[in-house]
Amino acid sequence: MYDFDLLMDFEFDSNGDGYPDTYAETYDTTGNGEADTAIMYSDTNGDGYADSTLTFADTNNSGQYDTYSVQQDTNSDGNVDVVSKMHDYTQDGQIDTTTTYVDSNHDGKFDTVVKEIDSNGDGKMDTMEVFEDVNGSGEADYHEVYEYDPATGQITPATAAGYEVGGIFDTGLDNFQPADNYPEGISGDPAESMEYWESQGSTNRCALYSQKFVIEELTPGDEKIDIEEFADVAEEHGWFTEDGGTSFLNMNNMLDYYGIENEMSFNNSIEDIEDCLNDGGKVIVSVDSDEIWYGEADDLFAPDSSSDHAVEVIGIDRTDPENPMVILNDSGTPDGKGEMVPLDVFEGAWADGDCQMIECYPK
Amino acid sequence: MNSDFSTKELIKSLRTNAFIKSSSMPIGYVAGLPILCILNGNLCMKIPFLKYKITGEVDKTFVYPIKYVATVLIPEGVVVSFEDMSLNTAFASVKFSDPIGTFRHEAVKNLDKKAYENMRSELYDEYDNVVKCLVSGKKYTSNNEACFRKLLNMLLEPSLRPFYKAINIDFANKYLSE
Repeated sequence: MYDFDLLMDFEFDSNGDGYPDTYAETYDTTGNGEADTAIMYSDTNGDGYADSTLTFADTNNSGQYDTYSVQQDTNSDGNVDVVSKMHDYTQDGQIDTTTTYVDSNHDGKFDTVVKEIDSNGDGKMDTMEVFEDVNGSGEADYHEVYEYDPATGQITPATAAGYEVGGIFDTGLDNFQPADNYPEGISGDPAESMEYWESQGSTNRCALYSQKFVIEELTPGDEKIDIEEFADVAEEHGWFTEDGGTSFLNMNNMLDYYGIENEMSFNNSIEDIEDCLNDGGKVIVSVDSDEIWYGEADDLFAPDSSSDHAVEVIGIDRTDPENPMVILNDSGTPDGKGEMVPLDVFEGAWADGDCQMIECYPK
Repeated sequence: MNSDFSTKELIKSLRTNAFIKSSSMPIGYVAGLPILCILNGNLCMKIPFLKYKITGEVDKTFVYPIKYVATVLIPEGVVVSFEDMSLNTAFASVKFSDPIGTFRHEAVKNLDKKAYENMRSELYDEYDNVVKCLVSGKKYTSNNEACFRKLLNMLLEPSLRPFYKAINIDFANKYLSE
């Protein structure tokens, strides 16, 4: 089956009918002389096709198997129609996830995927997600999670269908690199501001992080803010929720809490941002993140979009007058430190939030 | 009645509406397709607010549950109430932080951004027709209604249907096909 080094193979009669029906092979796929993959084929119905293939693999060369796969031909037509993959990511000898692919109509395409997860590591699968290919496109669809119960007027869960959320993506945007003649042609001090950048991960804390950056920049001698304590304060005061984030009018409340002089206004211009930065101030804005991160693709869009993300504007780079850039501390991407966005793109994304701006000044 | 009533302009105006801006609704929520209803003899539109999240994959933009609903008196365009649906008993089982579907759904998979926006604009025009007929007493023809139903059912994300039913079952029964 593999082109790797076959180390051992053997056969045996698993059902005791006198004929060998199970064959096992071990392979060294890395060339280190040690077996890291074992495959066992069983043809218990004697039709000449393996009706079950079990594979063990040590994918991380730890010396311990961590991935197991079972392929089954349930209707003996010679085609695999069920594949189960099990992973022991933590190498504690217990399976952490099992994903089963099923070709229920035997058309050669998997139409159902069931994923079971042991989320708390107790050895029992406690979370299940089911994906089905409802339209036969060959890809798992996501069908309705809820349904309406006319008897009660309530919305109730319909299936165990789930969606994977999060993941790291690459915006493809450049990051600010101070030139030899820095800071000529640049408003603000992006090189210094970038030192305060952090990633918000998959949280809804963009407005909190933007305020944190500004507070720390304007109070450099003070202790660094603990974001968990910061979020707790904001939540206790009703200015923020972990599930939803921050509303427009609450975007400066933590600045007030820390005594940072600030003013929120709408319908501003890029020159207003530049003036603030040139005066030594700091600027937080709300933008449409989709326009910043994904641009204006014809087939990648939402039914509607709005300003949904807070960022700190740390500089405006006009060193190339033909290509002015806005420099951001953007907590929403892993690569958001000194993120450079073309001015026209920024202005479009900013306009979706009515050009909201929070100007901040030292105490 | 103000013959210039425009559903499109109403929805646009809600983004800067003081009532909505001063609410607890976080940034990032957008208006969904309106629900027409009559409340105590008053024509109203219930405007649902929900989030979408572009994931970077085509047709895998996440659709989240409707979290807020603003009730607007029509044709005056006055916001009379704003509800956080997490406090509504009909939504007690809803996990608002988890997506419930994806966009583009099947019915609009072949529409690019421009075509989708044009179709949405057509649907808003049909909303305007309904409002004008209801307010002026003019007959809303079966052709008008068929056009409205067709556009609404094409554009409304299937995963949102149960929410529309819970918000106003009469509107759903009249205009949403099974």
